Amino acid sequence: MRQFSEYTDVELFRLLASGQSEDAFGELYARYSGTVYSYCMRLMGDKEKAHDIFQDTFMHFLQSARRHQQLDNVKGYLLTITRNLCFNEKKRASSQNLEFDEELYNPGFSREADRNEMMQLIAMALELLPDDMREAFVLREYQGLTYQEITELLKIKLETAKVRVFRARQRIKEILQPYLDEFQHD
Amino acid sequence: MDYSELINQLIDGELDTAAEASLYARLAADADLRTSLREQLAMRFAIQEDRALLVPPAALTNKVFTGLGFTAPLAGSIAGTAGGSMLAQWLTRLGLPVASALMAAGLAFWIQQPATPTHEPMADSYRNIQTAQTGAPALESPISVAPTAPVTQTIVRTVTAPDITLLRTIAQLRDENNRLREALFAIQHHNEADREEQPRMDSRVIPVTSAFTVTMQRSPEPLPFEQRSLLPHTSPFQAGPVVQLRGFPLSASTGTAVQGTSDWYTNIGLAFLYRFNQTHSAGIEMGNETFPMVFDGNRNGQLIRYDQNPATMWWGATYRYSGPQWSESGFAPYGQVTLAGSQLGPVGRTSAGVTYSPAGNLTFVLGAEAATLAYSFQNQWYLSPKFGLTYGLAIRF
Repeated sequence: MRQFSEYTDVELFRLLASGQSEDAFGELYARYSGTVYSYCMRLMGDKEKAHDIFQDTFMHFLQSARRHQQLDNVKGYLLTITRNLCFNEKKRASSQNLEFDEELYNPGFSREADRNEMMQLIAMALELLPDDMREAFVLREYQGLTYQEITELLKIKLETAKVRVFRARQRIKEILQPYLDEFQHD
Repeated sequence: MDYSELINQLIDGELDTAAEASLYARLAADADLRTSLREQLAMRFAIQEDRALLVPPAALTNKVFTGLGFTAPLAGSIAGTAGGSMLAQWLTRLGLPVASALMAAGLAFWIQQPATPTHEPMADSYRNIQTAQTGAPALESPISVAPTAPVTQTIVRTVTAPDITLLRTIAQLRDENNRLREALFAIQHHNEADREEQPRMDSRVIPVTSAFTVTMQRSPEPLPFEQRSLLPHTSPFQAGPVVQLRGFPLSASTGTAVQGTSDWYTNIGLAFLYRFNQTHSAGIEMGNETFPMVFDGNRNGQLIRYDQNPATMWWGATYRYSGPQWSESGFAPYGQVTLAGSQLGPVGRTSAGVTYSPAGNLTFVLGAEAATLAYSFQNQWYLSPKFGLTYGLAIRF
């Protein structure tokens, strides 16, 4: 008998509407909860809101699975739900200025000292980026998505995705230039 | 040409051969461009190190599952679904609790002391010995020897607890009495013969004998203090069950940012022991305890760091050593070892300290304790050790 870990994402998604939904959901959750959680936390910048969106994401995901039993890209679909919920929340809050949340940059890590200064500076610089740049940069650098996956997720052109990531890198480099000069001289 | 764009493409791995050659040639000649590349690479390396996925806290996971009407999974099982050998799964789910129960049974069998031999009633024992030695029917009445010569000493002992040593002593005394009686008759006969032949002398032979009157009593009366040395030491201890409840608010050496559950039944243990003698006890102990778990894994090619602090039930075999009391103060040293199983993995714990038994069947326990949980993820074993104090009380039945 096959283990659930041997099922593909598509097969598991199909099982969500059947009597084995709990086991299938558990396996999909194990595979992508980290990705969704990381995306929420880095997009929202607020732990409480990120947790709410995280919970809502999987609720919407399961409801959708019970209505539509066919899906080709489960990971992309989850990130799409997360993204939409994040932006809806931001619109609702009517604020483009995200509060700096210490825990966003130190969430769940047991060894605080392992996060060196550069990591923390980059994370701080992300906060200063426009939403579209930050989103593309996070998906590319932190989530490890290809440019093609980013275009499918964000519904933008391939060139647009590349430009956004490029500009995000440049902007972060400009923000961190004084610190980078220090690192060069050390 | 914008070489910064070429650097961007180089970092993304999308630079074609021709553009790569052009970039490298420019890098060789332009120090500022080389600096820019180093800065981009430094940021990239820092980001890649920081790419460990953020793992949702166990409480959030439970909230998601219960909100959807599903059974909330154990934090460890979320990590465990993607890894762990079948042996590890067997050990953690079923094997160790069964093995612990078997170990408890084996430990109990090994430590079991032979039963204290039951003594036959004094009269029956005496009857058996007398019958064996003389062949004559045993007398029910106390043995006595009417002295026919001056008695030098008489020792009267009241015996309540029948024991083999005393029975042997009585048998020996009876033999001695018989021999003395025969000797006495012989001497009397000889004296009578001598009296007829010789004039009466001033001196006379006075046989020295000892007569013992042993009164057997069935009613239990306290022994005179001076006679206790003749009896084997009988301890007031009685074997029997012991129930022990203790807490272990231990500190984990594994640092975690995740708060453990604070339910009232967390970090306590309940033990059902059988005390075989004053030293050895064994039985089963169970408890509920939090163990921080921090470990790394790989999922879909990405580094994942798990940081969780789940509570788990455990139960298994326990053995306890109790040392002698210090100067009848009520204080005594103890040591205890427990091997248990849980859904997350095997648990081992050991403690040492003192017990205080002020009176009756109640005992207070205080000691230092060390415990550890062993768990596996993706065929890698990890430990979650904890140290601290343990305290509790035990009741003997």
